[in-house]
Amino acid sequence: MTAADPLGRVRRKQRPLMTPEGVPLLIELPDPGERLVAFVADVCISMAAAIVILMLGWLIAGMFRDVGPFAFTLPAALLMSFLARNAYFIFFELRWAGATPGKRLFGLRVIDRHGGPLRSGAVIARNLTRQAEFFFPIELLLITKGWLWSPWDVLLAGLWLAAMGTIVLRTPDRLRAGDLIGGTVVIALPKKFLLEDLARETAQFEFSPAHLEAYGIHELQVLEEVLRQPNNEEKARLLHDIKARIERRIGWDRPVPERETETFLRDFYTAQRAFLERRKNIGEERRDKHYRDTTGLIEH
Amino acid sequence: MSAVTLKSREFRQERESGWRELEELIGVARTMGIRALSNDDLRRLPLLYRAALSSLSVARAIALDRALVAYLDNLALRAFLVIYARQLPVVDSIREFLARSLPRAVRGMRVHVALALGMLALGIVSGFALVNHDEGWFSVMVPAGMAQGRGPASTRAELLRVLSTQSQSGSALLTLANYLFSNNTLVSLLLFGLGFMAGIPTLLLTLGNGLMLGAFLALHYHRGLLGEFTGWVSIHGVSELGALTLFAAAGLKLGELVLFPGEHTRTDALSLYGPRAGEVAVGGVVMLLVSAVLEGVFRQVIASTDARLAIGAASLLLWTLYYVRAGRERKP
Repeated sequence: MTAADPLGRVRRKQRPLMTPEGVPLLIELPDPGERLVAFVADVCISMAAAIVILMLGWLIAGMFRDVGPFAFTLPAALLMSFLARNAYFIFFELRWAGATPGKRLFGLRVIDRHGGPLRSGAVIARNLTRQAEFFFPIELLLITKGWLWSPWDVLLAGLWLAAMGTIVLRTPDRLRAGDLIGGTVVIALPKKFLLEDLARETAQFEFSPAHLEAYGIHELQVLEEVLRQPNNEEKARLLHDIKARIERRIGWDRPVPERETETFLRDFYTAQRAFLERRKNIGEERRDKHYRDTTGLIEH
Repeated sequence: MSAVTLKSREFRQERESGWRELEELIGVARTMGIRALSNDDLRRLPLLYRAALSSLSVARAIALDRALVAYLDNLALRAFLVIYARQLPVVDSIREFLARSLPRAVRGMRVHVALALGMLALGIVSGFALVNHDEGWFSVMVPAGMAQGRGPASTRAELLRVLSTQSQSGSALLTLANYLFSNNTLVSLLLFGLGFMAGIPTLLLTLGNGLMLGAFLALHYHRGLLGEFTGWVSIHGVSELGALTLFAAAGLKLGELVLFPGEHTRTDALSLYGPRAGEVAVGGVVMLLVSAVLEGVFRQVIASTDARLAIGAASLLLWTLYYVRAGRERKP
């Protein structure tokens, strides 16, 4: 399911993950774009490390050109840089519990798809598969004699990459082939902060139940979203609009001074939330303004 | 002015300090590792985690403050990961994998391994029989890139030169580095990766590799070089063929999961049993690395056919012992 934000921004795909304690937690799946960016960052970091190793090897090989064992240095450095490139992902995903530097930078984590511990076999498998999924066709493209002379190599690599991309886009949890084999999933885990409670302790404006029946949970949360926006002209305009619409809809007849717009809306938010929470508590969930009490059992 | 009572706000005020404390512990565990926590903190962590889960359940039921529910969801998930998805010590994980998981995974797929070995053997025998009968078959079974000039037209001396060529010692590791990108990597990836297609490409490729080896054997046999060639190829070939067998077995397992997912959906079947196949394929990578070292270094250094054969036989024995014996539960 895709949770669309009340203000129309599209949020990440979500799905529940069952904990052993029996409380489902919502995990967010990153966009393929986010994963790609993190991956590119990782490739850059590991390549940089590999190049540094290579340079050092070159330096040492140059200094000891005539000394026997150091004749091995350059090829050894080649090998080391190959290993650095390949061991990088495995090392960090084991050491940092499913995060590489790139993933950490963009708030992504690899977790076990069923909520269990991340096993070392799974980490190794998902990363070696990447070699087949991605690096191999890229290398094929790089070493191919050219687009004109060997169209088959290009076609093969292109088809392979397309097939791998399709797997990511078509599986419900956006899994790479490596995730399929490793039983893992990549989630977005940005740190969220506890925001202040918008409800006010005391109210300057008072609303009767008749006023509060006009709206439901959806409208309440849109209002919450707007009130939480940083203060700027755009927000002031939005608040003004919303105030006017609320006044019209609930039939508010005492004029509210312009400078008290925010107080009015905060009070309305508080009263509305108190009302809807009480209603929800007795089993009447007013989803939105179209809610109609069809049972006739609950007295207002 | 009048006071407003809001259950969700009271609830938040009561529990907030616990959430903050949990957040702090998670922060320490994430940045400095779980070992940085004191004993007292370690005792508090699961309690706070469960309290956060219960807060989340309550908040979902009573609170309409979206930011609050989102925060609790995020907090509980991060705490869950600190507790259940531990950081793994790299060296220990790798030792555990080699000492236990890998040989167990291979034993768990012995049917697939046997099938792959059977296919390989069938290829070798048929390749040998065909080329033995008529050397014209050689070029059908061995692509030109692989043959590198060797073929029905080669003389005994030419073949012998290939078998005993020593490369410069300095470039031994370079050979090794090259080897890692070479044909074997491609073949093994295809063996494993194409397993998704019901395992059929895997079977055919295994057969094809067997045919190639059989053809080479027959070519050298005709020129009285069977012993030399066997030594030349077995020093690393045992590990290499072992690797190909493991890749093929893992590919066949994937094919089986796609064809017969049993009572699961295909995605679920893959996620449940796929990791096992993945581990076996990783075993193939390990064997390829060993074979690269053997080919890149030892074959260049050791020229005697007897010594080469001895190393080949020893590696066969060691690999077999490893996969059959290693990581078994000790009987009490």
